[in-house]
Amino acid sequence: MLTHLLAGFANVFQPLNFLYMTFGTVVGVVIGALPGLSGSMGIILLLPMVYAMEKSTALVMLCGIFCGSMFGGSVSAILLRTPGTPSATATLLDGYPLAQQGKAGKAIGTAAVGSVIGGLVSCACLILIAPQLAKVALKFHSADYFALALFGLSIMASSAGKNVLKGLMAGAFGLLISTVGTDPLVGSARFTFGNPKLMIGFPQLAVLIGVFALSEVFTQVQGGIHRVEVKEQNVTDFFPNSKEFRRIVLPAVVGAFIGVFIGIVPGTGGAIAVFIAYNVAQRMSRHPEEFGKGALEGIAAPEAANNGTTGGALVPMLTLGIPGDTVTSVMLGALTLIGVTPGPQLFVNSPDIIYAIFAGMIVIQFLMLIFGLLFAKVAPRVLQIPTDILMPIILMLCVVGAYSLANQTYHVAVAIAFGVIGFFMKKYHFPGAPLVLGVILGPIAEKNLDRALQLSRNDWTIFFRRPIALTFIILSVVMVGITFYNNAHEGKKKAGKKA
Amino acid sequence: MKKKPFSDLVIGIAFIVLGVCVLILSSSLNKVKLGIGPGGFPTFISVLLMLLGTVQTVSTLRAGFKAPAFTADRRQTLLFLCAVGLSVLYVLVVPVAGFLLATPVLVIGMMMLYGNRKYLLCAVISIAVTVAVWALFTKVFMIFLPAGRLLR
Repeated sequence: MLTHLLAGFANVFQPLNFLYMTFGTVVGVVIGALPGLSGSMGIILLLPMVYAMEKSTALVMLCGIFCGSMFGGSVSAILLRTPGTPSATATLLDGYPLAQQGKAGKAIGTAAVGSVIGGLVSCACLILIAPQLAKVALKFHSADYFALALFGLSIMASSAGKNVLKGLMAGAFGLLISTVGTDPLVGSARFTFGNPKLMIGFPQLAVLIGVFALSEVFTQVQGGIHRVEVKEQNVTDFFPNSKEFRRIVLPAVVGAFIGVFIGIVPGTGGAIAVFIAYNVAQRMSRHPEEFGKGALEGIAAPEAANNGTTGGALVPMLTLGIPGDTVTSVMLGALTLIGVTPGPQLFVNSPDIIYAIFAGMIVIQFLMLIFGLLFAKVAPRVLQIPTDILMPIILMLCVVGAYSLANQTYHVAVAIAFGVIGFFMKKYHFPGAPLVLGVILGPIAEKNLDRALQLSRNDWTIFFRRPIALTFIILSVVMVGITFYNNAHEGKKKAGKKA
Repeated sequence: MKKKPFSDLVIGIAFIVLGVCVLILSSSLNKVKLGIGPGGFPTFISVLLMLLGTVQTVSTLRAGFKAPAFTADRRQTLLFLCAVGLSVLYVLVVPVAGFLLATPVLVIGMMMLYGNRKYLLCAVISIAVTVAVWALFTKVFMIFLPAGRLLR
């Protein structure tokens, strides 16, 4: 493993790889800081670039965007009291009060240190867990893969947040979308209504561009010009002193492990991890009364958890081809563009790519620290880019991104159509992530269900006779059950409070 | 129990209708002896759509729903429709006019929809960004954006 990892470092330190990795990190930090934009949109905007790149170059750039955006969200949370990404929400609880006290630099510095600790812990876990999980996954039968896809789909319920039913509906709609076009089993046309263009179905990436990026453009056009007002801030004195460092290191490490654990569970992600880490840090603290008023632990712990989810989310994506969160689902689509199929075979056939990702993830943490703090200096000006300039440019980049998928305007049309669908989903409070999970996991579930039944000569008990498949099926039932129970319990609690 | 929006009821019914349509269409797909065949998975999805649609409809009816409100902000609706219309028009025009001619129009149009009234600034930014993106993609990344029939 060490030899592979050293080769990975040699790979990422090649000038071109290093340059694009740095570029990706910077883009990620800036995109993450801009409220309304996220890491998934960052990857979408840079999609057309990945064609011209070597696989490992493209991958480390995408990882840079992923990690950079996670940290970037905290900059606007601290300076503007507006989290750039949902997972930076907990950071503003103590980051903004600290900035109000004239210590914006210290708050951003603490967030950066927390992010690096979280990122490094998650890298270590990724390096240790992913290859072992891949070894297990090599033994998977098609019945196991179907059960795994079912488990991924059951996550739709938990990723829906407050409204489980709407999440499931969005997921079912995603599954339906995945069935349009040439069917993967016998190659016949399905739901194409005689339109030859529909034979290729709705391309996953065009759907993602529409749901995650164009829907935002269509939503924000209703708000008109929106210029963020940033007060003059004293963004200096970044690094915590040794006393402050000792105070934040333990909550940050604990937060990092919470982030890794939650990141590994498909469909969860940073937004959940940060609040758990924040609560744990408050309980661990000798000064819990300082939380909410500018406690450094209250910034470091959620930021560590936030970045901890990055390595965690990559574990199921790289080993099983199941996205850990929204950003990794977009990344999964991007991988298919450059001919990389995530799964256990990737560890056997292309260890150079895998270890370039591992090494890249480690290096990115330090790049994020350097460029994150440099960005913090200019952030008050960058964050004032008005939406009337930013959004039309994003629209243009989305159009270019969708077109470059296959040099066809059909892909652009699909992206626009799903931009409209995404707009209405937002309007009526349907989450977008389950739809994407449905689109990605639908074909995997269908192919493996068919293969498993063919191999067992239509014996459905195959899914209950194989221990791995049975485990995933039980986990799926438990996951949906817990989510429905929690939802009903919360509803009762609210009703009780009102009474 | 808190009343639900009328849209929840409409969406619930729409899911049931969609499920029925998918079920009918799936039944006409090829059948196979072994495995699920092309119609198997869509049939499962159609049942799921009908089931979820029914739960949504029944829960909305049980909770009660607010009377349908047709008080949507006209200006906002118009802005959304114009943005979508402009994007659709772009898809139709770009194969003829090409990326270099059609894109600045799309960007200027969107800037104006977003409320920017500095027309000269809009024009300069949109042309500069379009040319920069075109040069970057065609010269550096070797991705050929639509040239259009007009410029050939």
